[in-house]
Amino acid sequence: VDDNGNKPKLYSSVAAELPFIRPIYRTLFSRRRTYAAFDRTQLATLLEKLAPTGPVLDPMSGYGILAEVCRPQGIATCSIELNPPSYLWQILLSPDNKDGLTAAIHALENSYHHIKSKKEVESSDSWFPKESERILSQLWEKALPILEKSYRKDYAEDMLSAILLPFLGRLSSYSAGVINIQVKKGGVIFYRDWSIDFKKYIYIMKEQIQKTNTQSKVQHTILFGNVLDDIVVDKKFSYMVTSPPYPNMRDYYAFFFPENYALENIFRITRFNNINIRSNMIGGTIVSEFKKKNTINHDALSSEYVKKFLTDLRLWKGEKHSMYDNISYYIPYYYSYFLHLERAYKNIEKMLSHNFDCFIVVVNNTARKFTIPVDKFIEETWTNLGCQIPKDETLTTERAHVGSINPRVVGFKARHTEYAIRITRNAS
Amino acid sequence: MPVNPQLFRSTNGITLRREQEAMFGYLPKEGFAFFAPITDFHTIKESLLKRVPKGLPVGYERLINSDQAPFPANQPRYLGNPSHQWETLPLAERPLIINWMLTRECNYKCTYCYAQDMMHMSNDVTNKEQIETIIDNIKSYLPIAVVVTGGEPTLNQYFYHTIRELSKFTSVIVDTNATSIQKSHIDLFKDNNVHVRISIDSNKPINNAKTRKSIRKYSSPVDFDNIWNNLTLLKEFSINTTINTVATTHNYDYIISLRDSLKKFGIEKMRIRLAEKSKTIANYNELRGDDRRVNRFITHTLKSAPECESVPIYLSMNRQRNSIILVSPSGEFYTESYFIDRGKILIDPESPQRPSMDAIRKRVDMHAHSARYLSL
Repeated sequence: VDDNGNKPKLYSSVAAELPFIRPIYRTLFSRRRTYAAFDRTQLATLLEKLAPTGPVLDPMSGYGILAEVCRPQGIATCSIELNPPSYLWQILLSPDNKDGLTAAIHALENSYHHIKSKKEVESSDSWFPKESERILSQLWEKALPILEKSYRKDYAEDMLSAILLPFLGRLSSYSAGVINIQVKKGGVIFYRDWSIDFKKYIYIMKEQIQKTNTQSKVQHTILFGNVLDDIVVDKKFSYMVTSPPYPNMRDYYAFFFPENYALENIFRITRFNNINIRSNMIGGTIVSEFKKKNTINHDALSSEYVKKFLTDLRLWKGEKHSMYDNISYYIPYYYSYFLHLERAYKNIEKMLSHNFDCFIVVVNNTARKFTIPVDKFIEETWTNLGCQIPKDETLTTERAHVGSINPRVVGFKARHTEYAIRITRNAS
Repeated sequence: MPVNPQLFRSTNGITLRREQEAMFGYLPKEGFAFFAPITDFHTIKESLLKRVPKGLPVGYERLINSDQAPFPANQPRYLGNPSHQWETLPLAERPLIINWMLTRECNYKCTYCYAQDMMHMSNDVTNKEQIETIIDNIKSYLPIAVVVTGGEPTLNQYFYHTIRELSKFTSVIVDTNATSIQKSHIDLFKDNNVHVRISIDSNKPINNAKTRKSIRKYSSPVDFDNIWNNLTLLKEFSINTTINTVATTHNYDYIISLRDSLKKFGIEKMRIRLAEKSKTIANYNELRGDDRRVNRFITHTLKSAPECESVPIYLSMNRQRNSIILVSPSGEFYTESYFIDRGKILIDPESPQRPSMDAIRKRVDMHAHSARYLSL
């Protein structure tokens, strides 16, 4: 207990004790978020205004901060996430999975002793050297059957991969990028003492999991799903708090390249293999399908603001290479972003009941000299879906730019406005 | 916190320690400064007593920091009175460090190879007497350290003999690519207190191979993992080791991750040089990249260097071209010409194997020579 009488947070010490895990997981363990997620105080204010009496939906839940804030307040939640490492992070932190995670740790404890590294050191140009792939696949093959004795297959896979994922950085031959969340393929792995590191990691995780409080009576559902496809839910939701991905060319899949590679190619989890996750991620950087001629069709978009924004960007006069970048990358990127987001919102609407109350939090970024009209787009889309948008100016805040690539940016580009848009529908 | 170069100021003077170059110096406010090589920190004192050429005046240059990036201005630097002008640069009266290209043989063909033109100019010596003569010639200048380089020096049949003989009167630094290091080499390094500098350009094999191409005619194919295995061996036997990296467009973005990998290996010293311009490097501009690219690399590297306290990065800048003294495999003393198209030139055409001090002072920029090896 610290000076203010607060109990230390679970997992907060993990980052300091495990220097060998990837920086992104160190950040996650200490801050529970990495990038562009809404903060806890803001969320608490929104929940106060919303005063939900039923479960709250977050269809783009990221690292699951909503569930974390709702849990102590006794509010039930349903989180949907497409990026497997983010989804598994939620699994790892959920107290509901205490038993499953403990069982996974036992299974790993019984398995890793039998795996010896044959090499001292290995370099590789891919995400994992062959020796690491061998170690990890053996670990997986030994531990999974133990878990499958007591749990169904997909649950066992979730638990085991949720535990293993933060440790993968130790055996991955990744290279650090320009900023610490970026990673590049290739590097050297030193195998001596890997099992000691693993033992330490397992011990610390076990300790943290045992400390989790499982008193909460309300239900917190975590779903792996793609909101670009129809998701069938048992019961429709009356409340939602969510935030769309930030449109600034951040590839959330790429943050976890080694982890995603391991899930798909070493652990071979069929659920994560079946859909092309990277191209289905809203705001992802893969826009090649819209780079071809005549693929950008303004009629496919319903928002007039977005159409105007894309036209403005196309007609913008600047340096030759900047104009070329606009045509070849930025316009396809924003087009795909808005197209996917609109499709997602139409699907999400199907998950909501006739009467609902929700908040969508959005920070408007800028492109060239234009504001990317995500807030206007959301208002227009949901109005077209038959919803009301009550105006509340207190929910709009000016924010300074927090970019890490170019922190010196000033003026228009540095001024970001955050909106919490309230959307309601009263069918009666 | 190990800062490199380490600089300690006191009322009596300045002590500097530059691990990557295996140097130690003491600059008192009054009287002559001392400058000594270090190969082992525990024996600094002994090393001082034994090997310091007495009366060598030294000074220092300002620390390179991000404000001065990319290059500190190449202004003329003069020797001042050490007791008054601390910011002035020294003039060494005799060669401080001599680079001896022991052999022209190498199992690599690096695209930026600085020694390539010299390798064409001379042949390896074929008997022990010739090696003895070269050692005697080097000894006559009483250098503080001799860098045994090549080619790949460990491939030379007289490598062991050379190291043993040189270490009798000076400190020895070996530049190697670590592909062929064996237990006997480790013993040799240990016994003679040798500082080993290993050339690695990236922790990613494909990037390393772009600039450091292996030659297949050598018996065992050069295995990238082999270098790292040998690195662990050196670490295990506590050999003083520095990683030498040449920064080019192929690895600018990978320097920081190489440093992270070295940290895992427990290697604590890293020295980065930008590719040096040489007559035989055809694609120099391509290797170096444009000024914007170089500036960005330097700023980024210096910016992130303090993050990793255990592996400080020392970024070595290009200096005056004629600031080095090179001994060819056949024993002639060369320096780089001030003009790039002339390449490497003999220091003393009349006595190529034992140039006079006057010839050395005439052809070699001794201010720049001192700055190169002593500056901070």
